[in-house]
Amino acid sequence: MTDQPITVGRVLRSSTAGLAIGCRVLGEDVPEFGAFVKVAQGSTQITGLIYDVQFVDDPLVRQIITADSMPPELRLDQSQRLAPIEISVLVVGFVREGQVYQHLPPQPPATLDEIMTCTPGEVTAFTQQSTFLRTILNAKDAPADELVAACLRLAAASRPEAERHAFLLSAGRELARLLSGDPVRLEGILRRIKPQ
Amino acid sequence: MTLELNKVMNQVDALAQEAEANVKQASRQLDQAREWLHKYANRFEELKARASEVGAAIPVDEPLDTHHSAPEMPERFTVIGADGSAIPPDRHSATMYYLINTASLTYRHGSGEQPVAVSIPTLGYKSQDLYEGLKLVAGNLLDVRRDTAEIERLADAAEAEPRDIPLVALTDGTLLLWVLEDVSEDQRRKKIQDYVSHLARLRAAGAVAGAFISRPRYSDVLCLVWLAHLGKAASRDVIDKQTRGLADRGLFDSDLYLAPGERSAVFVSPSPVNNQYGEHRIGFFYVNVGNEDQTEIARIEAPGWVCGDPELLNRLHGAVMAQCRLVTPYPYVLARAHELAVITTDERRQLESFIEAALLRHGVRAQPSQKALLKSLTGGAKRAFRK
Repeated sequence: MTDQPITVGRVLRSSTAGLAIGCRVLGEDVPEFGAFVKVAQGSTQITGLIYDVQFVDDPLVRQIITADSMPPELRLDQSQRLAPIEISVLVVGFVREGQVYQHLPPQPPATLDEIMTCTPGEVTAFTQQSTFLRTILNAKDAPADELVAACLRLAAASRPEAERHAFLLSAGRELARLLSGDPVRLEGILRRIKPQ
Repeated sequence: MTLELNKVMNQVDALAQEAEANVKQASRQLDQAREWLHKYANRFEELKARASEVGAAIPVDEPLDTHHSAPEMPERFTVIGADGSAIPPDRHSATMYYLINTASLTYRHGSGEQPVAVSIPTLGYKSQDLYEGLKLVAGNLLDVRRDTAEIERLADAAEAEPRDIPLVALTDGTLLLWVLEDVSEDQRRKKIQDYVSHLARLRAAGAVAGAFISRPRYSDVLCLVWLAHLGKAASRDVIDKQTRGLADRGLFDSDLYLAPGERSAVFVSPSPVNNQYGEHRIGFFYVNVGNEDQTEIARIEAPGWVCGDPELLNRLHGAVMAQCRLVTPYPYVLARAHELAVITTDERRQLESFIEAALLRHGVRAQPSQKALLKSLTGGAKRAFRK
């Protein structure tokens, strides 16, 4: 996670619960599964988690795959072609006038709005409460268990080293409460966020 | 109402029957034409003047049925492709404007470098942009502006390249501004001068300029063949009657003629507008850009200074073939330039909403016409629910 926000892409489709973003290949860590991203919607800043990164099926790439040879220029050109990647984001809350709300925003962002990565400070602020964990666990399209674990690891990493253990411990307690009826699932997630 | 497919089915079958008959007839005519092409191949000298008069392909100094295989290309060479697209002014939209989006891809063969992709959108909205005299810049007038912007993009990209690597600059479609045939003489001259100035820039930049026409519909060479056969009896009307529905590519599209990679002889285009191109007078040849499994005949146009120089002509021929062997029998740089230039319906709608929002910010209340509004309500997805 870098200190400066990075533009991930622009909104392709959106609803209050989730959005799809089109973008190009950016860098090694962007876009990253489980990363916190933000998009402005008027005075509201919607916060979401990246849960799926997909290379969109592309007829030209299909043709290139079947070609006899692939010169390096041809291969390099593919990475700069527009919108070859589609990213899915699960909306987990929003920030308005500095106040964090961990429920769905009143309106979705408009198409073509810019999505940025959240700074470590913003991630720390957003994850002071843990109500958003329920939203993730109930998500239908996202791999919920993996996503909870990935975003908690990133949220821990956004904090000073001394605070990480306590943060994960408190998140673990909240998960235990939410998943009290499903100990097997709980154990799977806890294993994934256990500090090394 | 929507199209009732069941009512058109009988006609579709009749259409296919008609097409079958036409194909057989065309095939016989083309076999005959091919025979004549060989028979009169060496009469190129005497056919020159008559071809000009009748409007047939004008031969240059080589037999009509010559064919050349693709030359070897050096390890390093660069091909640039440019394309453009436009949104015409629409009186049903919130305000009057047009948009021209030009794009280019610079592909440096053998360099191992990432190709350079550029796209440049330009909005025309001032009254001097939107009108030429009393005419709104739409249709042909907008096409000419787009074509000129395209060749300008090509020249800009060519000027950015180093001089020590062989350079070829390709555009999609023709180099001839034939759509100018219904504007005033003065306007036409000015527009051609403008267009041709970019061909001169390409030449000065050391680039070989060319245009790639996929599935060409021209019949210039067929006209020439009929002219040779009919001799003094030939007139445009007679030739047109006998070659109606036929295209030059049928003449070359045969296992017996152009092998993969081979090109035809060079001819000069008989288009009247060509007389105003001066040293850039446009010539053309046909080339089989396909492979052993699939014949694909394309027409390549190039200015006089390329057609008259065997080295430049070879460079153009070789570069087109190298590009057509990358992915499909179509120059890769042009496919990508098209991809970069094309404006999708979604993008167009988005631009329209940006413009409406900007107008509102400036206190201009603008709404699409009632017709446009109603169309957006009745068209598209809603029709999917019809029984």
